[in-house]
Amino acid sequence: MLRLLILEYSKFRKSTVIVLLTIFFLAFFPASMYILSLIPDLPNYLISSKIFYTFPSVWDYLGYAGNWMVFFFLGVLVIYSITIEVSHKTMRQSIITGMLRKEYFTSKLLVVLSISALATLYYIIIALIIGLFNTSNPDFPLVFSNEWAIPRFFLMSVSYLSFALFIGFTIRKAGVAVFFYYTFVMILEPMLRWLGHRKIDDSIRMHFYPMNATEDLMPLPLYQYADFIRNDKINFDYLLGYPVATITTLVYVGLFLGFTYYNFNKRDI
Amino acid sequence: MKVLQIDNLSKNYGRIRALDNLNMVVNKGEVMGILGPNGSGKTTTLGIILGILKSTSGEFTWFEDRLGDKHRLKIGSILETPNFLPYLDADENLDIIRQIKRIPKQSFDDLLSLVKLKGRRKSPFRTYSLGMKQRLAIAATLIGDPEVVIFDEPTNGLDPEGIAEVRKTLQKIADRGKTVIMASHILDEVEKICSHVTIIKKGKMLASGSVGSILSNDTTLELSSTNIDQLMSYIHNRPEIKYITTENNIIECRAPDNYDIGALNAAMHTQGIKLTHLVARKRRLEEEFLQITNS
Repeated sequence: MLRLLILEYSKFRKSTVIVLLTIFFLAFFPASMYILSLIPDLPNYLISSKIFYTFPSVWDYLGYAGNWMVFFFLGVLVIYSITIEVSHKTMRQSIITGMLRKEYFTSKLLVVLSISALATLYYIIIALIIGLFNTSNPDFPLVFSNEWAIPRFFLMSVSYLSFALFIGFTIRKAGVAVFFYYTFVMILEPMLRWLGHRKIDDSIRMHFYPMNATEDLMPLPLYQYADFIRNDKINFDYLLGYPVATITTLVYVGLFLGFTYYNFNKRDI
Repeated sequence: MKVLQIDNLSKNYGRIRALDNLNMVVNKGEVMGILGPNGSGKTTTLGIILGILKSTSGEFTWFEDRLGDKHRLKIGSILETPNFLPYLDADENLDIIRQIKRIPKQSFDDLLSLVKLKGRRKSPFRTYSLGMKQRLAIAATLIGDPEVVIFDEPTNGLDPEGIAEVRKTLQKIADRGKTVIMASHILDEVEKICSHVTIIKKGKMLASGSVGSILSNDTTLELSSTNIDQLMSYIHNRPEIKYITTENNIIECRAPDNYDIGALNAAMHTQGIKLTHLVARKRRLEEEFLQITNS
């Protein structure tokens, strides 16, 4: 396992694109929290901008920012790490040189898991730094009363990156793959959901889509103020609950990885 | 020992049949040239035995073992173009190959000297000329001292100087006693380097064996005379002389091995035929190849 990870590191440590995407992620993730502080007029239901930076809500706001950052930067990083190997034929050279297809797939899966783990670790560090600086009397139960935010963030990352892995292996051309990745998450899946169900409160079924379920692991925290915003009692679910979102995401991650592995084993490289 | 055995290997790309029940055997220590026109199935064959293409039917064994995947670690190969990451230098790219082959960390000094790239070892791969890329690929095939080395069109796209350099390197590898499999459509290259040859066309094997056995023992004669019609008529009346063709007033034909050229010349002289050109030579691979693939 470690051997495969070191191999992947050797391949990409000098790639300008990979280095830039990593720097963007590391910089924009904490910076996104700073941007929140620039909002001049807060809606009255938020009481104070302190809510963004104090325990336990900092886990939710930072997690939601991380939701975008992982999707936007790290997903592309995974796609690029696969498609560059296709375009420079180092994928086929790895097999020719002696790697089993199973090993090659495992090395990419390890990249997904490692990046997810490191992104989660970064999330924890930033949350702790921001939270500890802004919360008065942060005791242990308060700091970690976060409804399993850390494993949820990890699973969310694994899900986005598994989807990116699936796209990278299936489409194989960098530009088309990245375009499809962004388009599917931001346009195609929402369109499918709305076209399929028409109404927001039509049915809970409209939430069981892969990227929506993933998003619901780290949702926009403002959804909890939905009643206030609509000035009405809402009697349907905007989101999947965390346990349901977790199970749904796990199923989709299994499908993405399973299909990718099956297809990679069957096709010509 | 059979290093590679291919049995009834077939590969379809949609409706196109790229390989059609191909059979081939490569024994230890042989330098096998796979010869064929463009599109004959050479690269497809290598792609299948190296694990990147899936065959439609048939099978192959490496080192007499049907589960051949694990044996790829004992093989060094380049297929078509050199495949490296453009932003890494020679050492870094070779180190990736080393890691895949599970070989302990090592210096690549000797390999880079062999392919004359030591001076450019720290330059990114993308800055290399085609010849340098090809030579780096040859160095990569030799990492870990593999038992078998496979090259696919190793001199493709190179200038004459590059071709000569690569050929020299290939010859050195062959001289080390390695089993070499080399696909090429450059017959001269194969004839100079290979001990054995397999000729394929449209995915089918047409001939296979040692270069000596593929080349017939016949003598090729080139003749010309001031009276070409009289010469042609005389040649046609000699039953032991076959495959007669004419080009630019030179008659080319085949005579049996150890044919007495002096006696032929004397006999023609008595018939009043004065030869202006007479060359006797052994058959070349190119001639055999064209005859086999056109028949």
